[in-house]
Amino acid sequence: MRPDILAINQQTANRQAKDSVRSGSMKTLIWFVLLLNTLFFHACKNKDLDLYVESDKYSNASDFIGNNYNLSLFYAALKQADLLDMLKKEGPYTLFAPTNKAFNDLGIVRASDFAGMKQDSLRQLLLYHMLPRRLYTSDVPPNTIDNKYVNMMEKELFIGYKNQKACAECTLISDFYVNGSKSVLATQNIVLANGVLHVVDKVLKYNPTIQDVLNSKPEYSLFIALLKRMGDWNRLGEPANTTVFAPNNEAFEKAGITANDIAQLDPGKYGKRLSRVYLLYNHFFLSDMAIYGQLPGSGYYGSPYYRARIVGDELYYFGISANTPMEPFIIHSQAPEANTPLRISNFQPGYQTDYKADNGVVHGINGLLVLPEEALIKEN
Amino acid sequence: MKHKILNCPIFAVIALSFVFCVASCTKTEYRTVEDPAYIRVFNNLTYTLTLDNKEEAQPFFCMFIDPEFDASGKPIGGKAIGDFLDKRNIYAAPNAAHAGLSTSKYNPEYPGKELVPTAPILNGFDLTNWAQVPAGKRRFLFMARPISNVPFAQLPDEQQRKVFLDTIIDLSSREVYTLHILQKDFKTKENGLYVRQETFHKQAFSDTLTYVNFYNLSAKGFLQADLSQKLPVPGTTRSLRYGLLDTMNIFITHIQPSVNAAGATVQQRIPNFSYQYAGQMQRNIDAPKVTPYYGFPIFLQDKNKIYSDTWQYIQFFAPAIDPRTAVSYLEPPSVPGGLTEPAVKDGTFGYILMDHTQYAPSYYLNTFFPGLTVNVHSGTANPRTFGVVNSIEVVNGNAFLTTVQRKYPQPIY
Repeated sequence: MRPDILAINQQTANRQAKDSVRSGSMKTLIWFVLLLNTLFFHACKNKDLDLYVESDKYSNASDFIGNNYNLSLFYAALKQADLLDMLKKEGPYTLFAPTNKAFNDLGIVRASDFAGMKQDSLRQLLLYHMLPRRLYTSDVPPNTIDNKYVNMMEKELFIGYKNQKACAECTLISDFYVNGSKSVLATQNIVLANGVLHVVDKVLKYNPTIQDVLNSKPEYSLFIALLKRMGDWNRLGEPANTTVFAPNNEAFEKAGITANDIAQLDPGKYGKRLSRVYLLYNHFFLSDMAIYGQLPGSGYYGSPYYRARIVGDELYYFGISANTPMEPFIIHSQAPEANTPLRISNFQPGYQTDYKADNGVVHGINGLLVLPEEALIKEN
Repeated sequence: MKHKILNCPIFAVIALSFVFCVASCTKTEYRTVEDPAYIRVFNNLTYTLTLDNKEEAQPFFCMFIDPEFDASGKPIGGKAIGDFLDKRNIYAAPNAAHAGLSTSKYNPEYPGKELVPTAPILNGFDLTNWAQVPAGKRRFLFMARPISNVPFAQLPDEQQRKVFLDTIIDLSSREVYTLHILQKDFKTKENGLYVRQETFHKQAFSDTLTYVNFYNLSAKGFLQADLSQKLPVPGTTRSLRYGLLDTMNIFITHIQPSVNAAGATVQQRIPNFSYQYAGQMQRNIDAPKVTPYYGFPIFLQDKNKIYSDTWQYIQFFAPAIDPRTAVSYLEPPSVPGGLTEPAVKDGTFGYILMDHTQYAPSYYLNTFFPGLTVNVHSGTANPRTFGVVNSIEVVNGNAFLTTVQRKYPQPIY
């Protein structure tokens, strides 16, 4: 705008302002203030804002499981055990839900298979999979094992969590383990209206003692006979922890050992490793090794996942090798055989491992680690 | 007239600045501690959890001094809280090395990164690494906590209830204490708090000498334990890995780097300052007591220089072994290759090298440490070497160096 016009405009504006002040300026001001007040209060529209509503869009545990094809056998089991109504209630619950595959592994393939089971024990088994609280993976410290939470059967569940991203480009490993059963990242932390659900790949198994675990499975009859003969059976009924690597009857048959041979063994003639190689005075699930990783050293047998001296036969180690699949092995502690195992075995399939008892864990293996003739005490 | 004054712009400016002036006054409340004692806390538990020792607590703590508890018995506060107390560093520097520099929450010592009132300069010694706590009987509670960035109070409830150590100690007014969380028994895995009342600020130290003393704070039965049981400790000081005998003689050899005719740096020992007997180190974790300090001169570089590049080669020998006559040990500055030396395994021999050029802080526990002197920019000299007071603590196969320095003139740029 040209400067002269600007000056004229300004003069006009000043004149107008002076006029308005003169003509009852107070009145105008009051009106303005009132108007402003009205606008001001009008702006405060007090609407009830719901910042957080417990969503009713989430389904409850019972409905979620019922609507999930991969959990149909778990649903059938819950139905058979009359637990569905409980899972509709407020909770909160944490559920470790085994997939259909996990039930198939145990020979349960259709819903009707549960009909023949005792309702009471089925109910106990299922309550064993539930915690009376919400437990998200973030509640468990990363890269730890043995976080104990009491479940709805009032037994402790041992929870491990591996959460690791070794480098910026590496894939995130986030595995959640309960008593050795694994829940992968995609199926963890499923939010329910009344809790949280983690899908696991194995049915959790529980017996009061290790003796009960072994007695409940006919395939370990020869192993039980060996333990009894060698005087190691009683420990498995006592409270002290033992992790048992149990060879099945097939393993004994492969080695040509019969029940009769075992009955005729003279325990005094054999080194303790004949039976104790299978017993660790410890308590762990196979998944614990995946979380803690290998021991320092080199080679399959030099940097194993685990290695411990055999109690009562300390020149020998029992270990679990670093190769995949992890192999249980026995090794002599002194050179020249220090890095060559005397004998190796293999684990039975995943569903035959991680049998939890109050005094330890049982893992099935499919080969013997010590043959009787190898354990003979040599007379000098 | 009045009207005029009110309309005067200068008046307005003055009035406004007066308003601003009053508004900007804030009262700073300095935290003071009545009748303080000075403490520094180290966590000496360096073990990692494996399947064999998984029942032990995670050696990562939240420390409460005079804790307060909520109705359910969970500690929620106290006179002081030191969260994220991690295992200690190989080297505890004399300056406030942690203040404002670190991006990690993990604290290698207390006070370390905690913003608490620290101790003043006592008798010339800079005690910024010691925290003030009220003197008297104080309850120290160490809660084991998982290793994570989550503050203790925000952890899930069940993880705030793992008591690791709960003890009461008596702190005297204006005394300096070093506290160590130690393993007391290697077999039973019993742990305890070791409290040492320091005396360096009361001793008549010369400022042209540098001083060092030695402690063996290893657990009972560590040396005697099976070698395989000592293995899971990652990257421990190689030469001390299997432990030392309860009584060891200490010999210090001073090494002087020089440049030879070909232009290469060679490390040579100073003949008259080789194998200097520096006293005896005895294992003692039950009756904390300051051990005698051994002093040696700062070997300044030739004429008119105030900087030293000598370093110290420290050897530990079981009594009766004399390094001047024993031929089976390499002569400093040579380093024995690996652990083939039989004596390393039976605890009759060990060595550490206080060579700052080989010291790597990122390499967690190794044989090399920064020197026993401090080189800094002070006044117009850059660098200048100062004598300091050091403590070397041998704990279960690891060695740790703690250095305390005197106040020195600030640098002039």
